Amino acid sequence: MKKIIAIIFILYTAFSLSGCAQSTGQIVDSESESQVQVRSYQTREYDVDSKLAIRSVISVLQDLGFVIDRADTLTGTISATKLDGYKIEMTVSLRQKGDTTTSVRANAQYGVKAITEPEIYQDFFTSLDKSIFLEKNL
Amino acid sequence: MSLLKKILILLLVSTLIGCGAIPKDALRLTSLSLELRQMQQKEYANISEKQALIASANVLQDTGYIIKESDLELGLLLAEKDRTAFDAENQAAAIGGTVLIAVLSGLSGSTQPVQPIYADKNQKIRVSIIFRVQEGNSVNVRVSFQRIVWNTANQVSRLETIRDPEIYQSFYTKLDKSIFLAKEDV
Repeated sequence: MKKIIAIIFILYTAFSLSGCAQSTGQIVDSESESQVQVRSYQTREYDVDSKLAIRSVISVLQDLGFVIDRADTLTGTISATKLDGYKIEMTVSLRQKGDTTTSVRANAQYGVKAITEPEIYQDFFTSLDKSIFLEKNL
Repeated sequence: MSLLKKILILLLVSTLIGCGAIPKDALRLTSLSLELRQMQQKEYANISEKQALIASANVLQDTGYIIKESDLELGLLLAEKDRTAFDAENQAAAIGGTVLIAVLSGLSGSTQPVQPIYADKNQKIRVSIIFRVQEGNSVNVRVSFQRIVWNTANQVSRLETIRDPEIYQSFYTKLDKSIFLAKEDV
């Protein structure tokens, strides 16, 4: 009996100390990564102008099953939600750099957690590569 | 199984679900993506983007949606509506399932209260429509529906993308009509 109570207590403490239970610490954190680190796996550059890039982003988000929540060409941001037994919300922001390059940055959350796995963002950019290729060759 | 062991397992499972891993193919294009696109889009000839947007906004209002975002420059419409999610089959299954669990629980000699199966109660349906001007004075329209369903215990019971072709066909039948009427008006 005592053993079980001890185990419950340890488990509880462990989960409380893990990221799953902090509260106000969540407000301006970047999940214990540096800003530069986060930006590095969330950003890619493409040799296309931002108009084509924006169309490609909207297209790929829809192909991935997202519903576009909002889009603003002035600030170059698009937000979308995917519901599929889970909820993913994503913002993609695009910045024209020079004449023919656009920087694309995506950040997403899964349920109540930020998505911090670079592989997931890699998947998104792989999908976006395909979409941009299609747009270019339309 | 003792009560304490059950609590332990529940704790473990619920925290794991809360901090669960994201599905591996969440952001990957699959053959389903192409199927979805074909279901969701339709091209309309001899129409301006503005006409298509206004006709679509009318269909959304015809079907009771509240428009949340509207951007002609980008060609985007976003709308939502809240409705009951009562469904006779779902309700019957919930009642039947609860009764079954109660009977099995009673038979097994357990004295713990039975956790009922809750039926669906409300849903929030979200829709976004994207317009793309194509060559030759036509507009490509793509609509996506998704919904959140809550049960009678006010828990989220479903988060889903609508993939039923009939629903999309039904939307486009209405849009066909709306665009026809819009053209007449001009």
